[in-house]
Amino acid sequence: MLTARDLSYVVDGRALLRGISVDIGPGTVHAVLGPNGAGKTTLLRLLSGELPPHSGTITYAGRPLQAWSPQQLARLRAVLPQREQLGFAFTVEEVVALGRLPCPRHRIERETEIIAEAMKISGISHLRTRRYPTLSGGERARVHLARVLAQIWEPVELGPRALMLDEPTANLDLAYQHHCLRLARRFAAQGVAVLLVLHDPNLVLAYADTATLLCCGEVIAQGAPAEILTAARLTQVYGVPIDVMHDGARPWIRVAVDRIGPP
Amino acid sequence: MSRGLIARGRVRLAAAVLAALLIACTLAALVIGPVAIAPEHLPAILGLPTGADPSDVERLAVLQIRLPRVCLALLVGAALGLAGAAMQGLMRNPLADPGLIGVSAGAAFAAAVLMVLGVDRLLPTAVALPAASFIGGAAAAAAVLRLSLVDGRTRIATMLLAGLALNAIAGAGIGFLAYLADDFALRTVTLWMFGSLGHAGFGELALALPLLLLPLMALPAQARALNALLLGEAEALHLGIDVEVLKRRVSVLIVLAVAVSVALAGIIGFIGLIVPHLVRLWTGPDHRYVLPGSALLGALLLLVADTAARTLFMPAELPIGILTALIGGPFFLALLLRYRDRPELA
Repeated sequence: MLTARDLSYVVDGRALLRGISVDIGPGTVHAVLGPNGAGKTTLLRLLSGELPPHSGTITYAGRPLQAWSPQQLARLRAVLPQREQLGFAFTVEEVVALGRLPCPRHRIERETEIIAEAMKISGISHLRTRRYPTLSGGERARVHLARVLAQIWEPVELGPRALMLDEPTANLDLAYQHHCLRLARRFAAQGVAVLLVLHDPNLVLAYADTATLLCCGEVIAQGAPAEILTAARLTQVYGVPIDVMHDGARPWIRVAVDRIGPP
Repeated sequence: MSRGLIARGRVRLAAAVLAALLIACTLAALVIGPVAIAPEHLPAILGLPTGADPSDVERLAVLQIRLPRVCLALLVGAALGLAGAAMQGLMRNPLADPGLIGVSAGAAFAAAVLMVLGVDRLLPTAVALPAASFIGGAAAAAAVLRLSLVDGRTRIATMLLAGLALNAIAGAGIGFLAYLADDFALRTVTLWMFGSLGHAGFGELALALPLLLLPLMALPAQARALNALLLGEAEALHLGIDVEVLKRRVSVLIVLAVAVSVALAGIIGFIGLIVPHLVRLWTGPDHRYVLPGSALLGALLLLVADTAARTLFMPAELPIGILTALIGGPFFLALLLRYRDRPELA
């Protein structure tokens, strides 16, 4: 559904991404992970159309990304950037309502219902009338999550929906990290194609159908998380000793703290 | 939901109060002045058949002198309030103001060059003046935007410093022109430096009306897009806003509003800074309310300020720019203090 072929992106003669291909089907959750500076955010910005790639092609639902207008894309697809920068004193409810901007207008009762539902599932109903600048980092992250969920709340005739989240768990506590990714899965179950940039390989193993392991702007491995996230590969990519453990059939990843060399 | 309804109720109340105040102040401004008008004569002067018999002096004072001046104050005040609100939204920065960042001074400088060098003989002044101020204002706006844009965001400190520099350069230019100028041009140049609505006539009004109505109508239509832009440029793009088109369109409308205001009334500072803040205190930052609210409150504030400027020291007249700066300066300082400890805005 969202397909990229041979993407590269160059800044000041330095290639931040080289020869990246990604395929995300409807109803699947695809995670991008890798060390700091691997190019994860740049890849998400290319795939969302925020940056034009220097070479390569991106298609959304079979059409080149550039052939869609910003308005059309906004109806199909919500994108949550990593850095929030809202300095004006909107209420939480008003920020979430901004997500409905590109959507075909329902009656006001239906609109308020969607906004209330999006706030409820993101766990921010109690913050409804709070001014945004007074919120903590984790609360802000959930407000923006509710905003992007409200944006693609319902199926549209125009095409399949997609959700792109750049490190959605960064500011969240343990419980809300899982809550957030369960919401992503819930939307995937409705047929939404989900792209996540994540740092924690354990979250990737628990919630992603497919994953791309990036390092230094190149794809190291791509496929089912349990298959590509091997101890040897992770140890090499991250430069710390990493073991893959097994909890029944479910693999999980442990950094071997005792074997890390001196700093 | 209840909150939405409450907000809408507050907004309706504010709009009603503002409208009532505007009408009351307009009528009061027509009556107050060196020529005393009996309030009961006003309806008759304005053409209502009430049976009262106002004198010719009263008719002349109201219809020929005060009415065009009051209308111009309302128009220019609305334009300045709206331009300030739109610029703060565009730059995602609550301290942006066309006066502070040098747009007004750039416009005034270009207009002064035209007058003093006599280039206006090539074109009718009524056309050449607004055109020159538009070019000057646009150049200043482009310079400030370019200078203060760091990593896709405007930095408050850089923006204010760039504005300081532009204001100094334009001020020096205007001062130099005043030094060169003959008496008539000198008076005009002084007008631009301190601002005055005293030269308003129906001719100026006829010119100002269409040029100011365009931004007054078109800017409020951009409210939803400006709301999205407050989230950030990437976020606005992903909400379906063509950000480059929006920025260009809004910038041109702001510069048009400011430049025409400067061409007609000189530099009247701080209206664009104070008014949107007062409106936001009441409605929150939603541009659907802030933009029209700022136009209404700007009109009201400038009308009151101009009436005060021409009556406080009757029959002498205080330049209105001095009055607005006197109120606006401390207000600006208070805002700076309020934002000083909030790095997310810097």
